[in-house]
Amino acid sequence: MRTKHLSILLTLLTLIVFSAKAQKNDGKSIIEKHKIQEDSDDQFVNIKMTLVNKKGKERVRSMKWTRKTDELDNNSTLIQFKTPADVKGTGFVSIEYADREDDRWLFLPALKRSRRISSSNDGDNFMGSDYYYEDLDGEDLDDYNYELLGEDKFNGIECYKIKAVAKGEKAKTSSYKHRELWVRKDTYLIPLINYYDKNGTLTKKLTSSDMKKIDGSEKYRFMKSEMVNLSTDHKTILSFDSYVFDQGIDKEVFSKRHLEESF
Amino acid sequence: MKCYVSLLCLLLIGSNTYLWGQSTLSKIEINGKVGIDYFAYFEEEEGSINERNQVKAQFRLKPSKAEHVRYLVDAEYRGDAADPSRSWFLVREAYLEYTTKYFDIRAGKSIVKWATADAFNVVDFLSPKDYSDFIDIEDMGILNLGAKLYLNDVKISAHVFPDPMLHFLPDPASRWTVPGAPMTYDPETNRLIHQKFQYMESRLPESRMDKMQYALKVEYQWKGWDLAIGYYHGMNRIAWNHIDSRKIGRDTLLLSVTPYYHGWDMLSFEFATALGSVGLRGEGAYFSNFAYDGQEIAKGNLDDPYFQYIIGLDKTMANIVGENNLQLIFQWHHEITKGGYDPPANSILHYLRESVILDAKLALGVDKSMSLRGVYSTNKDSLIEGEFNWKPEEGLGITLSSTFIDGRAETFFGQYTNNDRVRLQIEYSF
Repeated sequence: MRTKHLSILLTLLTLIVFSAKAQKNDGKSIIEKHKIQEDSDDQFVNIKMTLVNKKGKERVRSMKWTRKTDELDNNSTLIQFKTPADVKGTGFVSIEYADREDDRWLFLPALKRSRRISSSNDGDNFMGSDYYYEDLDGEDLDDYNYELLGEDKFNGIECYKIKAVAKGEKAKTSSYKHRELWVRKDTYLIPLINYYDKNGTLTKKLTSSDMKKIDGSEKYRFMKSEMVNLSTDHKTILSFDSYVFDQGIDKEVFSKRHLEESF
Repeated sequence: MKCYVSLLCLLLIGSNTYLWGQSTLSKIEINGKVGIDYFAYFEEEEGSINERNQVKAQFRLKPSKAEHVRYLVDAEYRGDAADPSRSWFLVREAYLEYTTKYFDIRAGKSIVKWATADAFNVVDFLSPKDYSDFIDIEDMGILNLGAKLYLNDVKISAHVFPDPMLHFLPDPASRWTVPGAPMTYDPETNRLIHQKFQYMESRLPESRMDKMQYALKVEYQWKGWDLAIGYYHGMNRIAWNHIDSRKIGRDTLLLSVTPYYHGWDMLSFEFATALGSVGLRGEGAYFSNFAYDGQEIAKGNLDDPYFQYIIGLDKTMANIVGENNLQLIFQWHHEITKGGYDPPANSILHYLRESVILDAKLALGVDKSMSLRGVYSTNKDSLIEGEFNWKPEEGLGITLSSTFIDGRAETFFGQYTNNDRVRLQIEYSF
């Protein structure tokens, strides 16, 4: 009798351990951990964006990037260009809502006004870069199915390899059939993303490097990333500088008013 | 001009005083652009200005960092060797602004822009324009006191304009000034005689109160819509010409042209939203003209009330040629008049009465773009513009464009069918 109870107990324990392990390692739970690493109440960083064409000619832009997650879990992003002179003052605001289509405005100094743009234009290039507007959004767990493909090493670092497939409305607007994400096991940052277009062809590759722990915070960030468009041989290199977290940035910063006043 | 220089000095003195007192205004940011602009018409006209040969330098000055007090000075020098009437030193904007979380107050000269539609606008008339070239219209600033109030998704803005600043109009020798016929029939003898024009001083509203203009606008963001309504009361900057004629000698008729500026009430609306991947935006306004107390109405010219609106759709298509985006804009412009009133088809206030506007812009990599704009009116006049833009280096832009105009003489564009041209602009921003 005691042996029977013991075997039932062992079986239950085994089930609990395996289910916990499965829970721990499924794609979504890994991305949830990535989100914890990625998200903060607010964050700010200076970015140098270098556009490199296939002949090697470079164009450099600098910008300020600010992001905030509010109490309703809406993510707001503000991007303002500082140089060169002919794009200085150009700004972009995006407010991602959980329950309705996002608000997006682009401010072009020549127009002297903000212009509402469609959030469905996910596949438009952002300011001539190799980033689509949808690449600028953070991972939204409700918009994707995440499948754990296995474990892999990238640049010698242990990673989880995850396939992200858009679902629901996102599947209609996304430019991608799916993405493959390499998520570091130590910090849950993503050093490599492969983007597959609607035909399933690998079209873009985002590699990130130079990971650092940010002073005054528990967050880690890559200081450099490179998006390569495999069909055009064009690439966009981003260098990040002066990350700041949780400064209590007012949500009014993510508004048409702020876009227009900053010019 | 003296007034603007004084204002500029005042602003700079005020700013310096503030610089002494506030560490937040630690640096002044100066930027701007210099450029040349040349165009030539395909057909030359004797006695007219047949080209543009222009240099321009624009400077903007503002604090690089400011908390509550801001200022902006935007001044330009423009020299046109072919058309000296266009040469100027213009303080386009010079203002001081105090901002808080809930409101802004701005005083000085600034461009006040009401507009939501893309290619053409019907509600953008608060600031005067430089109409020296009808297809290359530029905003000019206007002295005003403005206040904006921000209450969550609502923005209320109010402006008072103390001085009815006029549009800058083309020189009489410009290809954009429609010359009067050199000959006419003598009303007495029915013989062909010479006709001469004499331009008299403009008749502006006389009282200080009548010269003031007011504008109020309420904007609201609602579930993915940008909505606005506005009201304007003030002077209409487009004049009605009052013409007196008298004979000089036996064979010349002298026509004295006096521009009369009457009053204008305007109720406007604007909207913008996104329907999936298509942008929908538009604007419209109901215009009602009136004569000020004691002001004579220009002979039979004052418009009856009318309503104009624009509805536009736009879509950006990604990866059209390689990885390049194509932006398409379609606009429908329409005017509804009261009681069958039929305003003249060549009036600048009514020139897009029933028109379709198509605008296509194709990006070619990071440094090049091509665009094509077409306007077609049901009066069967049209305008087509093609443009190629190249940015060979950071800050440097080169634009080559060409314009073609067609239409019957009595239509708006039809007045300028000889003005087909090719244009080169080179601009460096710093």
